[in-house]
Amino acid sequence: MAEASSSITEKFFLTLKSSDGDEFVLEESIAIQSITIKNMVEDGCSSSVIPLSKVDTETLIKVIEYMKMHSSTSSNEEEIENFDKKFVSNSINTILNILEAANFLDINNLLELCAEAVANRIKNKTPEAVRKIFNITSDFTPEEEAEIRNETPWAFEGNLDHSLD
Amino acid sequence: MSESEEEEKADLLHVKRLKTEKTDRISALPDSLILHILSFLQMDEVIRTGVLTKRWHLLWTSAQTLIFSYSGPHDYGTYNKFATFIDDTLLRCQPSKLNKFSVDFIYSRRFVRHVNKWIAFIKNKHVEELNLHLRSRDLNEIYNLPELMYSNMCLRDLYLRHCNLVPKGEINWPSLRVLEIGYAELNQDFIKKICFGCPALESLKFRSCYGIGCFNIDSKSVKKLVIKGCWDDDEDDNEEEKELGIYARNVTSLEISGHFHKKILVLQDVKALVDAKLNVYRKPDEYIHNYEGDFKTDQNMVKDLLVSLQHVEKLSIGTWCLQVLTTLEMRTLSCPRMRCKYLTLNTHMKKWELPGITILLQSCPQVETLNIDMTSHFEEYYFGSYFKKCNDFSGGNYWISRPCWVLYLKTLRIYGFWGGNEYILSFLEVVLKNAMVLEKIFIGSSKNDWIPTDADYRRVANKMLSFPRSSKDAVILFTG
Repeated sequence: MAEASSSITEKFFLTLKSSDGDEFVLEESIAIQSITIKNMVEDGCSSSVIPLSKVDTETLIKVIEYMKMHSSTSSNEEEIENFDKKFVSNSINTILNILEAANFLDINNLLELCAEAVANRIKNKTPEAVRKIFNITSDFTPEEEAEIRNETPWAFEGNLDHSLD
Repeated sequence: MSESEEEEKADLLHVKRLKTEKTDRISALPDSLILHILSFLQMDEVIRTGVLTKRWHLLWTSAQTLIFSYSGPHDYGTYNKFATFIDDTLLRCQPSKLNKFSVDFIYSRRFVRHVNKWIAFIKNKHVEELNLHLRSRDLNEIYNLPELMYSNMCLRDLYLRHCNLVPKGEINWPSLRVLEIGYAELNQDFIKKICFGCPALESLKFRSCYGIGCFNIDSKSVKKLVIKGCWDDDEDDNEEEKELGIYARNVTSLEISGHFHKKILVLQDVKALVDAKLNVYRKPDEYIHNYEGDFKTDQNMVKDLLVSLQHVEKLSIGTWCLQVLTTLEMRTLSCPRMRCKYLTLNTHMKKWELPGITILLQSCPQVETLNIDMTSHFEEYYFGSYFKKCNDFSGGNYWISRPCWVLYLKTLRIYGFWGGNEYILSFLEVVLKNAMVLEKIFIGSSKNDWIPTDADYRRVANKMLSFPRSSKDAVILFTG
C-alpha cells in the first residue's frame, strides 16, 4: 500500500460513543476533523471513551463515513465529489440529523454540505410542497396565511414548483 | 450480544427510523441552524418560508445573508416592482450584522435612489461580503459606488459588476481579502489606491474591464491575480495596437484569459510566479493582413509572454496560443525553453493546434505531469487560406515525425477523451513510446462526450496495449 512510508509515525486511536451506547474506534487524525473532538484531545480528555450524547448510532456511522472519505489522502477530488453527491441523497431527516451532529461536532465542511442539501429541497418550491417534504403542519388559519402572503406579494409570484422531489 | 438481542436492537432501530421519517425535524432545529440553511437561498425563497407555521413567520427577518437576484420579464414595471421588493424587505430585516449582501439586478439611472438606500442599509450592518451586479445596457448609465463605501472596516469579500469605482480620496478596506471587478472602467490611479488601501488583499480579479493601459499591482499581499479580457472604449482609435502591461511583483498565481481585442499583452516583473494560466486571444478587426502571412505581432507577444513565464512551475496554455505556436513551428522559428514540471493544455487537439502542441512539448523538457483538457472553449486562430495551403501536413502522422518529447513524463491526464477526437490515439501512441518513466495515464470523460460502451473501452484498451512502451510500469486508468 502507498501509506507504508507514512505509517512509521505512530497512529493514535479514539473511541467515540453514540447516544445509543455503541462504541466506534477511529484514528485520531481522522476524528480531529471535528473541532469539538480536536479540542477534547488537546485538553487531554480523550484517554477514555468520548461520549457523544447528542449523536445517535445511525447518524454517527454516517458522520464517520464522511470523515474517513474526506481525510484519506488516497481519495482524489473526483471521488470525494461523487461521494458527497451520493451522501446528500439520504432521506431529508437523516440529512437534518447529520446537520445537527455536524454543528455539535463542529465539522464545517459537513455542516455546509448538509445545509446546502436541505436548502436545495426548499429552493423554488411552493410552501405547500415544502410542508409535505419536511412533514410541517401549518398552524395558521387560511385568513392569516393569506395576509402574510399579501405582505410580500413579490415572493409568491412566478412559477413555483409543486413537486416533492 | 446474542442473536436475539441483536435482532431486537435492529427492530428498535427500524421503529426509530420510521418514527423520525414522519416527524417535523427541521422546525425543531435551533434558529441559528435554520438561518444557516436559509443562507443558501434567495430572499424571495427565504421570505416564503414565513407562511409555513408560526414558528417560521418572522424567523427570516433575522437572516444575515440577503441575496436578491432578478429573474423576470424585461420591462421597467417589473424592474421597479423588484426594486420596491428589496426596499420593503430591508425595512423589515433586523439582522444584528450582515454576513452577505448580494444584488443581481437590471440597472438604469432611474434606480439610483433605490441602490443608494440599499448601500446605506448595509453600511450600518457591518457587511462582510458584498456582491453588486448591476447590469446596465448603457455605458453612460453605470452605477458609481458612493463615497461612503470607500472606507469600510468589515468588508472581506467584494464583488462588483457594472459598477464604477471613482473614489475622491483614498480607499480604506483593511479587512478586504478578495476583490473582483467586472465590466467597469478602470484607471491606473484607482489600481494604485487599491494596492495601497487594502493591506490584507490576497486575490484580485478583473473581468472585461476597459480603459486601462497597465495593471500595476504594487501590493505585498496580493498573491493571486486574474485578468479575464480587457478592451478600450474609444473605438475610433483604430490605428495602433496598444500594449497592456501587467506588473505583478509579488503575485504567485496568475491567470490571463479571455478576449483582449487589439491589445498586446506584456508581462513584467513576475518573478514570484509559481503557476500561470495563459488562455488569451486577440482579435484585431483588420485580421485580413494575415493573408500575407504576417503573424509577427501575435508570435512576438506569445514568445515574450513565454519568456516571462520560463521559471514558472505550473503552466497552463490555451488553444489560441497553441495555434500561434503552430505558426512558429511551421516557419521553423524557435520557442522559448520552459522549466515547468506541471503543464496543462486547454486544447481540442484540432489539426492546426498539433504543430503548436509539439513545439511546446519539445520546449518543456522537464514536464512530469501533463493534463490535456479537451473540454474548454475553442478559439479559432485566423491563419488565412494561403498559409494553410502552403503549409499543409498530415495530422495523424505529425507526432511521429517529431518524437523527442515528454521523456520525463510521469502522469498524463486526459479530460474529454470520448469527444471523438481523431488525433488523441496517435498522441497516446507517441507518449507511450517516448516516456521512459511514465507511471499513470488517466482517461476521463466530460459532459459533452458520448457515454462509452464496454466495446469502446475494449477497442481503446486493445489499441493502447498494441503500442510499444518505454515504461513497463505505466498503468492506464479509465475514470468517470
